[in-house]
Amino acid sequence: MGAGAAAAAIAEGRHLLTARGLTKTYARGRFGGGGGDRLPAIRDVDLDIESGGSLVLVGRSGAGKSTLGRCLALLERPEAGSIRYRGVELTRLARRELATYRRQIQLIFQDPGRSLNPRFTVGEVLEEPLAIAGLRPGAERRARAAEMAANVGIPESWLGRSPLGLSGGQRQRLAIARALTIRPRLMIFDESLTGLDLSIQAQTVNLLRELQGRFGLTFVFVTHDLSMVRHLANVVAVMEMGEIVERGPAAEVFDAPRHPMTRRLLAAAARG
Amino acid sequence: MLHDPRPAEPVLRVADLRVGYGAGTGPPTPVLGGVGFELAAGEALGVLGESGCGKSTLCLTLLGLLPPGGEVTAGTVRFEGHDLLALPEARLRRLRGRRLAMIFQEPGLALNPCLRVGEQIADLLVTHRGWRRRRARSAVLELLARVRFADPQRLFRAYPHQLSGGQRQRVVIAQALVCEPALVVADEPTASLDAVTGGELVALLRSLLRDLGTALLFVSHDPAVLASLADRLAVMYAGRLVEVGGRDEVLADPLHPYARALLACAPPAGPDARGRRRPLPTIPGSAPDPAAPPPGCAFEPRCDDRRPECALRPPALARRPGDRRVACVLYGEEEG
Repeated sequence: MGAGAAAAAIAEGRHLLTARGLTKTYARGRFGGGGGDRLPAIRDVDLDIESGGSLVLVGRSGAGKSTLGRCLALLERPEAGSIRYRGVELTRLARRELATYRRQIQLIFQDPGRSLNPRFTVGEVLEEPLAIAGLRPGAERRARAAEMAANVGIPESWLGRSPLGLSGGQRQRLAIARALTIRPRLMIFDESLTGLDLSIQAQTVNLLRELQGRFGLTFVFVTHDLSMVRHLANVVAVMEMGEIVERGPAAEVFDAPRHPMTRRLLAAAARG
Repeated sequence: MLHDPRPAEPVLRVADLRVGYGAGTGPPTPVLGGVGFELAAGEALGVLGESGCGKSTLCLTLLGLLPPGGEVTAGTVRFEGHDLLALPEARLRRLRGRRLAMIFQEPGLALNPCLRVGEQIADLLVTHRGWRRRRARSAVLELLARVRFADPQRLFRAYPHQLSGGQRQRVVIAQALVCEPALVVADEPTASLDAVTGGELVALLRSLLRDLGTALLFVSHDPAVLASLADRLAVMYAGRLVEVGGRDEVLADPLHPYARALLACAPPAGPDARGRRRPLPTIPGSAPDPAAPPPGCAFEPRCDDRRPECALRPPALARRPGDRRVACVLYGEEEG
């Protein structure tokens, strides 16, 4: 075993997921004027996600953070590089084999309203992932959905209602509960706090911390706005133009940012 | 300039503004429950409030753009000597875009996708000022440079879809300012932008407004955005202003229990992550249902400092030392 492989093996012990050399490009649009060439969204990205930790991927619009999040959530296939999850190389798995891992890695979108089926009740929204996982309709499925609703503070009386009547913060909690019903290990939040009211953001931060402790979850937050997410971070990776330009423990990066982009992002999140 | 001892006539004076949304039968559901404030020439007022507090309805009412079902049930809005609420639509249209401009959340919706952005801006000068197109075009090119486009000629010919969100919002700012209005009403114009781009946009807007002496009413749910651009801050809850004062005073020492609770939810400024294992403060409960407002102070059910009299009637905004007004029995109740 070479030194590199040994180091990688040690890293894997602490890490739920390790990514090496991830690259993903998109074709330039017809109106982009590029004519057939490809635009790199992420370039040669290495990332270690510590088990039970909270990693924040931060950057401006177009920095590649959402693409990276989607690659980690197995919604995009990178063109190059490796994603090892608990020792298994995911980039080479066939679609069918990926299904198991998709259950363990859940992505939560910014506006959960658009991902909630308006014809479902809140209870049906919560039961759907269990149905896909093969659980038959009945008392057990209903009980598991109700238990998860209670975990995020959704009262039982809402289970028969339409999700259309929920506020932004309530929909976000429903999306979190839905993801939790099938017991994931890794949750990736794409701008999940952005745009919510301040008091709701604070509630969500508290809820996520509690859930993380209770279920031993690992979190990745994709965001452009550090103001609230910094209360959840223990590792930060700053992205610019498809690359990670600074990374480190949250306390160090926030106290002594080195890269100019980190400083700009922190300044934008400060009040006054 | 000589100092004028008489206070200048405010650009905008809103008094006891009440707005409701009707559902056909029965009385309309109140959304604004008596809002009053003044805006001096060149002054920037930030309105801080959470979803559903009525801040967007306030903007739409001032612009005369309430959606169908929306109804002003009481109050006055005076703008540069006009009674805006009584003005016929044709005259209001002549004011909008010329003296009274707006910037909305989503720049894509404010721009016509079929027209080159330069022509859209030039249209305003042709319509409102009767300028010839050539003169309007050269003025727009100058303005595009002032909103920091490096190549105004190229931008002038671009279509909205060819621009990024931040570029589009700068075009919308140019459109709002091209006729040098007395007042700009902005509803969360940075909501669709990333934090860095939003910060740059706010700084640009602030400096252009200062140059033109244009007043600003800016509503947002984000105290960080308001802190960087407002001279004064108003905190809104359940359709009423609960506190109004100088920006620094309100942010550093909010008096109204809701303002205190809301600002406590915001993380401390500065890059410090040490206190992060303590739960963040939140506001228990939720805002009242507008269809069934409580008889007293709307914040009373959630307030830690509530007293028996709070549930009797809503407190008026009362004047406090400094340029501060607070609607809370803790601070006296005489009308300011």
